[in-house]
Amino acid sequence: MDDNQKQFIEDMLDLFNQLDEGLMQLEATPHASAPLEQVFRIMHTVKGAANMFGFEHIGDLAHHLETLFDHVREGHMHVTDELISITLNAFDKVRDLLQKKNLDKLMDSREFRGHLDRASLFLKNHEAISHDKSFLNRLSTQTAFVTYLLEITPSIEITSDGNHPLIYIIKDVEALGVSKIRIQAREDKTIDHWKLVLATVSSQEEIESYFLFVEQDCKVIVSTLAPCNLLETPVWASTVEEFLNQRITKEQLDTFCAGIKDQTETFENKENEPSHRNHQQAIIKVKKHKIDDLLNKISELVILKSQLLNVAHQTHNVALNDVAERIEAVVSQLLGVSLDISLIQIETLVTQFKRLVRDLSRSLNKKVNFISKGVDTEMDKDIIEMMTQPLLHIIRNAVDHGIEHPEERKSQGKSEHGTIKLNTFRSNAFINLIISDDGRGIDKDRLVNKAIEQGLISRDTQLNDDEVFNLIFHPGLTTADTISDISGRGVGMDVVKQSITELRGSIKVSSSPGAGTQFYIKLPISRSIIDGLLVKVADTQYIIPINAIERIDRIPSSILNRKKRIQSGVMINEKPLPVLSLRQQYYDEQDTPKTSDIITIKVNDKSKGIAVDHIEGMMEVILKPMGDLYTNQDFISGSAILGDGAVALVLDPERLFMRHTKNVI
Amino acid sequence: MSTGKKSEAYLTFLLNDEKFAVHVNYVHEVVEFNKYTRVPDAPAYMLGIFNLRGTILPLLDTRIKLGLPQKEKTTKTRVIILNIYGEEDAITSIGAIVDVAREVVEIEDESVQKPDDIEGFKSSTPITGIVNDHGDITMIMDINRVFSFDELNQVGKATI
Repeated sequence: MDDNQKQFIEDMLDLFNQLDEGLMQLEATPHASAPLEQVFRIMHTVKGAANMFGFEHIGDLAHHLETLFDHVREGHMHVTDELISITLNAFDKVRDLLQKKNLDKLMDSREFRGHLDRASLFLKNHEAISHDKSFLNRLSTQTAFVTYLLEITPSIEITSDGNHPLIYIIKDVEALGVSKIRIQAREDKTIDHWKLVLATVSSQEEIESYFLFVEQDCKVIVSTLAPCNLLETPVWASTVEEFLNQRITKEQLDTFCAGIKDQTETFENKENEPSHRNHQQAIIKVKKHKIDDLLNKISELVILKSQLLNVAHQTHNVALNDVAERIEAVVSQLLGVSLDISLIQIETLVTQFKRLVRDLSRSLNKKVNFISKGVDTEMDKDIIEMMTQPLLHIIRNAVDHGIEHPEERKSQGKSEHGTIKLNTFRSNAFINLIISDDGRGIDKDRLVNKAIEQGLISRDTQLNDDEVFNLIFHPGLTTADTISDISGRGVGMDVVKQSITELRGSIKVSSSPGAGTQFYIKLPISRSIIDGLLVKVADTQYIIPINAIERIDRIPSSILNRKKRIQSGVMINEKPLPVLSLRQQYYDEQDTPKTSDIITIKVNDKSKGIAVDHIEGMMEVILKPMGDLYTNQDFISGSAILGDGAVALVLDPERLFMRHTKNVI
Repeated sequence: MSTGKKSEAYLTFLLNDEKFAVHVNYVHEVVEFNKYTRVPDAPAYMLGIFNLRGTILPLLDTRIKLGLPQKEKTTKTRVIILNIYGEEDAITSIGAIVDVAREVVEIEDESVQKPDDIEGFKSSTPITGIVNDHGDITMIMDINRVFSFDELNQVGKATI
């Protein structure tokens, strides 16, 4: 067992302890988000680390369990005793094997089969039971909806087939959202009153304004039933139905609605708090370089702190050790706080999105709601600025091509209003943005045909779903009539992907016909914080950003025998891989070690390998520019100061390969 | 009270047993030569980058840049942190390696001989003046000519 594996096991055991704590907390408070996020985050870390160190079965197991908790997080599933038990048991198994350091069994899929099956079965059962699987999700995301009760009593004699403007006004009001109506007619067919339950994003004033011109002909009472869409959920809708059919009284309905209010309150609070807080807290604008200076000084302090700790440990002076450890705690808090300073909430971005959706949907005669969640999530200002255009492009496409016209939606049994959702949350040093619409989805056949037509793929290329959807990011795909007629206004999908990759983030798309399209975007919280793998080549330490890394393998260096170019056909994981050796490229080959570590990364959806001498570990570092002098080294995105004060170079894998592909040709 | 004679402060240092002086306005500080990180694919005199209390600076080898023979680094080797001025007053800080850093001296303007007055002196050198104090020669160096920002950039681009 090598040092990396030892470290891995230690880290894992630590993580599992945290996971236990989180799971138990979650069991006690199933609706609290903090423990859920914690559990999810830890699983995610476990998955990543396990895959990276080659324990793919642990990774697989973590992935399956993560999926379960993702469902919980997305609101498709409740936290149940069974879910907690399945998770605890599964990780107990892993922990047991890790503690025994039983590598053989850890690598054996049979060891985890039972737990995997249980997780899959649980998910399957869950999906079967809950046809209304987005119960909680709707509750949370559709808070923009308010359900009103309108009681309209005409003061004149009209019939429902009459020609009075009130009839049409009521029809218009019904169309403001989802609605249920009951007409109470007298024996002579004249109308006594209407009762209309309307779930809409329109305000009460807006609704009331419809009746402005018929004021003298009727009496209208608008009252709020619930701060959400009561008609979206079958249980609620049936209660509304009972009320309209006069099987329950208004009081009973109100009591029922009050109960719902309590349930939604947690979400409400979440959404309202930040903006509320914003108004109250004073904001100071500070020049960026001041923050940079502060960060520089603090990073220096972090390094001094490590040195102090070393000295303190060596002197065996208890009092000194004590102080040193306290300084350590304060310094790491200080670092956290100072990194937070340069982060801003993505709220500003959301406002732009709302505006775009509103304007565009009107000009296209579509009905589209935009719903966002997690707008208080914070991100680096630079990243937000760089992501604005790409995100606007995705949303523009969703309104333009995803969401169908109201008639088409109606004919397919969908609500006339299309919905675009932005869900934002943080996990570790990353921000996740999920943009989803409930439109027609991406037409795979059309996309493939287009790609064949334009010679991007050959006719007999077999692509899986991911690969097909990835075609939309292909720079060669002319998107004139497939993606955007609102084009010419900015970027294409290839540029969207490029911007995200530049920021060391990733984008994935999934889609199902008729049900909509989802974009999953993952971005680092800050351009300057990098989650990286520390590697060594000759006397130089490099950081390779983790988001790009697929796997790591160790091979004898003798396999890498071609000089000064990318060597194709190095067999990694039973597949040939083009490999670039940093040592052969830039350093003396005299003292090449016996083995090299091959780090497999994804560059433009193709796997490439970077050969380094060896891996030293994983770490989070702060990216620092190298200054204006090193302009030729675009494959190095900057530098990072390590714990001991040494400077490592941060590699930009994509640029590295771009540079050498050019050279080869 | 002014003596009427104008003088300027210079930092003196040794390179290849010859004494040079650089105007203190360009000098930020002098630090010991410490470990640095090599940056691949750069000209030989651009040694790499180093960490100056949390700031990353390029480390340049003055000997190589001036075409002098290379020499082992000793305990006396120092790094002068210099401010180089580029276009539109852009300032770049660099670390330049010298054999020995001496002291800050006041040099009277009138004791400086211009190289134009000296026969056979190449005008392209970065030496802008020479002080001969009874045989003790100090050469005043225009550091911007040695490591001109634009030139450094050019070098970087030329190797592409």
